Amino acid sequence: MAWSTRRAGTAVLLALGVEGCFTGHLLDAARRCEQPIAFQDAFVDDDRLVLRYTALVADDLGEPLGHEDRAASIALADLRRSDVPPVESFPVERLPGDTPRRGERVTLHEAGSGASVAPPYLDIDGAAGRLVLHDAHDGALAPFYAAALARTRTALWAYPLVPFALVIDAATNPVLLFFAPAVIVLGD
Amino acid sequence: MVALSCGLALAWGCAARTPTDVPRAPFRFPADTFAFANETVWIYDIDPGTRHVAWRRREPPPAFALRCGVMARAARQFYSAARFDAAAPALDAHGYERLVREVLRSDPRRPATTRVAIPGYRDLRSFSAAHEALVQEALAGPWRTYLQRGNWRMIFPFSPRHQRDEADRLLASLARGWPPIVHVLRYPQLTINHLVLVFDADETPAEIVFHAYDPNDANGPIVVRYDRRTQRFAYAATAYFPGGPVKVYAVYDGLVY
Repeated sequence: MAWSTRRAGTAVLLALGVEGCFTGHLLDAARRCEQPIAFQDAFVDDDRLVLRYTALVADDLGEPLGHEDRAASIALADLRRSDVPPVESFPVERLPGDTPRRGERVTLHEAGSGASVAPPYLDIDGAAGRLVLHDAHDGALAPFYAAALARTRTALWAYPLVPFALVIDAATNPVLLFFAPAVIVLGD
Repeated sequence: MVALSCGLALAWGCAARTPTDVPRAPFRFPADTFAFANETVWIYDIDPGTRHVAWRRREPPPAFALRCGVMARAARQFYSAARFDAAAPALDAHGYERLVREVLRSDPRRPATTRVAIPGYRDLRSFSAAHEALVQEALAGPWRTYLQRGNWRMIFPFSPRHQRDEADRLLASLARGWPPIVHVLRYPQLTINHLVLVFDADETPAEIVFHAYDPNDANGPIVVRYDRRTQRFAYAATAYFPGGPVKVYAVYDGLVY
């Protein structure tokens, strides 16, 4: 009896200490979010627009962790479509950050700056997070939202810890779930 | 039998999360909000460069504080269950107190089928400006925020997929004309733990911009952005929060929230 009381007490204390689903919080802590903050280079390689940019890496709560040089390409055909794919499913091919320049160089142009440049050029509207490619043949293509380049990933160090986190959850979550109905019944 | 019970429980929960459609004008800011604000117990000194936040206690202690949940809940009750009639003759304080308590007795989780007529004022903003003490007295104390039923959910993590679904649910609720109340948090960090009432949304290809009534600020609505690609919400910078990613879920919504 004393032994089971001690075990129940330990489980309650653990449940309070791990602040909920430990596995979930572990994966949250390991989540990394990358967002483009500056474009360095752009070129048209065959039928794709290649972008090299600097990404800000932040944790799940937005705390900056550093910068990375990234590159990605998008199909020009996607920018010529009348129904441009939504930003969350816009097809982006990730490339190595040190992808060498090849093909036709595209001038980076700050939208609204008034400077005149010859096509092809990429109009970058930083405030709206929008890029518009102007080429010599088709003029302005459909806007491309820089948010499509953002990505989230989970830091590799989290995965070896997941089995331990699952064990902790197996011990503590029943305690939390046991008290949840009481919160619901007593709560407003 | 167990399966039947579970099925009934699920059906009950799902049905309870869908408020009855009652035609009413969209929620308006400032007309449908209180003229006074919930005061914070702490003063937040935010370094604009590092976004580091230092806290110090407000002196003297505020008389009306820790009521963000109470105010968001009550704002929706007034929106749902009250009808203001500026042309009708005004009542005395006792008459208004009775009407306010009647409104606050309405179910905060679904639109009211009947409305309480409040004479002498054109909207909640003008009424609560004229009867600030009476309304504050009628609103419950901080316990109602502490004992908000959906608080159980905050200790469990929120996946990006959950947040995407939550953004869709908020849009759906707005489309039904029912402004959702959302719990905004960064648990286990306690840098923000707040309730606001969402009343409008603008969609762009990259994000959804939700406009919300912040009980802490009577002067203007606040913006909560949802990033479609990263599937995260971000709360605007305020006097009490430096701005940045948050987790969001709707409360006063259905059986378990």
